Amino acid sequence: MNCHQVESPLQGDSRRLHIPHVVRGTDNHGVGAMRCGNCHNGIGNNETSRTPGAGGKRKDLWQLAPLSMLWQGISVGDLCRSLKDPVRNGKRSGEDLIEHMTSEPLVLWGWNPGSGREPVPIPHDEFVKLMRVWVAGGMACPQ
Amino acid sequence: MITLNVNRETHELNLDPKMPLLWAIRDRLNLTGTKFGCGHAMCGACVVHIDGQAARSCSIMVGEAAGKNITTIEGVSGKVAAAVTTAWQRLDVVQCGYCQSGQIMSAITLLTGNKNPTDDDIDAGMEGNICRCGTYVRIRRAIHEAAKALV
Repeated sequence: MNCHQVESPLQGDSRRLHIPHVVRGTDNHGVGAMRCGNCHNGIGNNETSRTPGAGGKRKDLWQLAPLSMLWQGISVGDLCRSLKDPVRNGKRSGEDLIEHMTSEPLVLWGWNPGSGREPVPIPHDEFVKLMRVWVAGGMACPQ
Repeated sequence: MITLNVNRETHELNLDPKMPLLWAIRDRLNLTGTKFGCGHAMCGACVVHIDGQAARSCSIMVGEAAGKNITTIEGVSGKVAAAVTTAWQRLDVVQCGYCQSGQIMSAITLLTGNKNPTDDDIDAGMEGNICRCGTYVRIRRAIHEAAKALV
């Protein structure tokens, strides 16, 4: 949720406004001397500064999600519909979504968010199983 | 061993890849112009350049910075850096000075990407550089003056 916002990310489990204040910029990576990669490491969380990070072999991954993937202020049902819509989800099919949730570094970060942050409350393999059930069942969404 | 290229010099150092770059710069390379302010990427005193981009060295780990071109306040050069430092000196921006190397590094990044920033651009680009002495008015004025010199 913290990175699927309109203009500025949220921070921490309390979802406060990001300190220092940063904005989207034209490429979702911030502006000037306040770009996401200026503080967030691709190689992982920095436990000294407590700055989260992820990316692995992909560079400059930490960013605000594209506006097509906005989750700010929408209902659970609308979020579900947004997630499965190939126009808004990066052209992903159900199987692509399963792969995304299985191996995407930014998704996996949710289970290793670094000190001071709570991980996703269910184990990752159970989460992927639930995704498979959802996709196999036709990706139904609540009203 | 970690290879750090700092101010156009290459250093092979026996470092934990998770060490904050700031520690390596100050304690192993004795480049003390870059300051520790908060250690949490919130104050900007530690800003350096990595491959031409501003980076908060308290937050960037040496493993992340390995092999890249790192520039500290001691090593800045070029037209933009000259315009910024000249404006900073002419307008006597500095009060205690502790935050100012970070302020200058961020200002250089701002003006490198935007030769004529508006006040809103300055707010957005310099947002993360905190000054306890309150030199913000002089910083803003100096950035505008540096921009004029770059025309």
